[in-house]
Amino acid sequence: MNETILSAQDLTKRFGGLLAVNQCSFDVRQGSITGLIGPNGAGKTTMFNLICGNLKPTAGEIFFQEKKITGYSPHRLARLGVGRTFQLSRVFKGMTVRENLFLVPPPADSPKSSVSKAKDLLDSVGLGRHTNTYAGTLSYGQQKLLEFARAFMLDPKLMLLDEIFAGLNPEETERQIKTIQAFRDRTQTTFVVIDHAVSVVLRLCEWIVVMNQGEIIAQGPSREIENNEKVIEAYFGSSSLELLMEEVG
Amino acid sequence: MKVRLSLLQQFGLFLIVLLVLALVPALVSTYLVTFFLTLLMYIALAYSWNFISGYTGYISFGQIALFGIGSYSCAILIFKWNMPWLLAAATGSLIAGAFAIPLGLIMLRLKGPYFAVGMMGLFQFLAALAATWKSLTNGATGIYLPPVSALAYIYFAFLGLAVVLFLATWKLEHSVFGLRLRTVKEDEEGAESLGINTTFYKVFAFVVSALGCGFAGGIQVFYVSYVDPTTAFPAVLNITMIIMALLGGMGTYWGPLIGAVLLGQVSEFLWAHFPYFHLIIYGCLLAFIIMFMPSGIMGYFHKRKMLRGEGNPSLTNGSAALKPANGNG
Repeated sequence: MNETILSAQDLTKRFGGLLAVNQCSFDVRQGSITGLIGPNGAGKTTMFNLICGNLKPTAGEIFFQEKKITGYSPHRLARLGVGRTFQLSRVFKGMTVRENLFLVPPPADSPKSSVSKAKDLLDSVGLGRHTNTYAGTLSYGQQKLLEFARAFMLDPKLMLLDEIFAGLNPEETERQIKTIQAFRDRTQTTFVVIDHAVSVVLRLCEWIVVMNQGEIIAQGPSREIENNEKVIEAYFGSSSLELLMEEVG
Repeated sequence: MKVRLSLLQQFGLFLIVLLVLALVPALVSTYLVTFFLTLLMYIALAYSWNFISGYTGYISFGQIALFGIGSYSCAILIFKWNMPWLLAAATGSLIAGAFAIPLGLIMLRLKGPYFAVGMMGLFQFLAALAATWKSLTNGATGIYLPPVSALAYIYFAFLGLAVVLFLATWKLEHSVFGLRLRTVKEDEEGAESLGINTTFYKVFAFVVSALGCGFAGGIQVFYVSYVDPTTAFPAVLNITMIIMALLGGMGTYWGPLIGAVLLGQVSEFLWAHFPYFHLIIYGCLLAFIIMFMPSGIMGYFHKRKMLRGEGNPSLTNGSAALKPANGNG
């Protein structure tokens, strides 16, 4: 399973005078958990928005399963199997947990009915008892879990998680890591994860792409990235090597 | 105490109410028939507005523009081609609906206040156009039509329209389609990320609203046997239909009905008893309601239910919404 599921080629996004993403190229391997890290303002979320069709790239191409998807609308990409969660959770607060899942248009080749799929998904993220609760009354951590489960109603082949660990307590973080790994093993879904918690990303991901100021400054297996000096410098400035080592443990 | 009616009981109740309403013209005075038919028009318009603004959150301050298109289409069809009035009203409704497709595709790209003001601008523009395009609309002089032969026809036409819009809204509240439409109001970007073509849902709701407004405009024209820019684009009605839906609770299926009936009665009562002050009292009443019940009467009860943590029983336990619906759009 070393096929490429997603490939970005010379992707550029310019907002007026600001180059948010500058000629970035990277591949995501089928079935992998890939991390996208970088300091604030590095262009990570812009990258996600380009991949998901929320923004149109100024230049460059994106390929999903060898198909050119540059300029596709977000809903079309979702139907193709690109799921995502957002930095700030975007559950439909005025609807119940169950309704949040039911409203997702079922994929054409879905073997299971929406009802049983929704039940399984909610059970697997631990929201099984909250099906009739209004999403707006859930805790923030639960809302993030709901958003995660909801995106899986699409049977996504590629799942982009934008800061899914932000705002979770250590216990919830552990559970989320386990959930992602379990989903990967069970459904063969490929994950791309953005997060600020470098230690978590290094543990979870096999492959890391590092961005800084709109450019990719390093990519490789997490073990190599851990010790990459350019990455350490970008994150902490050249003098803070010890700090990073401490965090990585 | 909780009363929960089965679907069959609800349907039975609905038929009884319908039967009573159908007998109204035969039983009451002409004054009351005109009162009821105006009320039915309010209900139909409040439901039309609710369809787009209540469910998608795109607040339109000019939905009456489509009423005007329906009015003029109907009047011109009767005047120039001598078309039977009901057919003319239906055609007028279709013209308003067809016009709403490109209009919706353009206008619904605007968000929040921009959409609201944009629709208001459109309404003003069309009123001005109707006054100047003399070869088609006869300008400010207007078009005169043969007078109505029987008030009951008008009454039944409005009744039919109101019932159809009520049922369409009921269906919306009890279907996955309706859930998807409501995602537009909740979070469009989130909905798109789940494969929901929000543009399709928005324009669909806009077109349904246009069909309702257009039909109401067509019937109204025949009722007053006359059309000019002020009767086709009535500014007061434009606001009234919004306030009715707001008062009852926008985005709910009972809201527009409750709002229209309540406001219709109250304004009639005030007008009859306080001929000099009725607008002042009316205005104070509205301000009071909006201050203390910003989400309307139904919205108020819905919120309380939500805080108690109870789900929407009609959707979560019922079976209607759970049937696998194939993705649309």
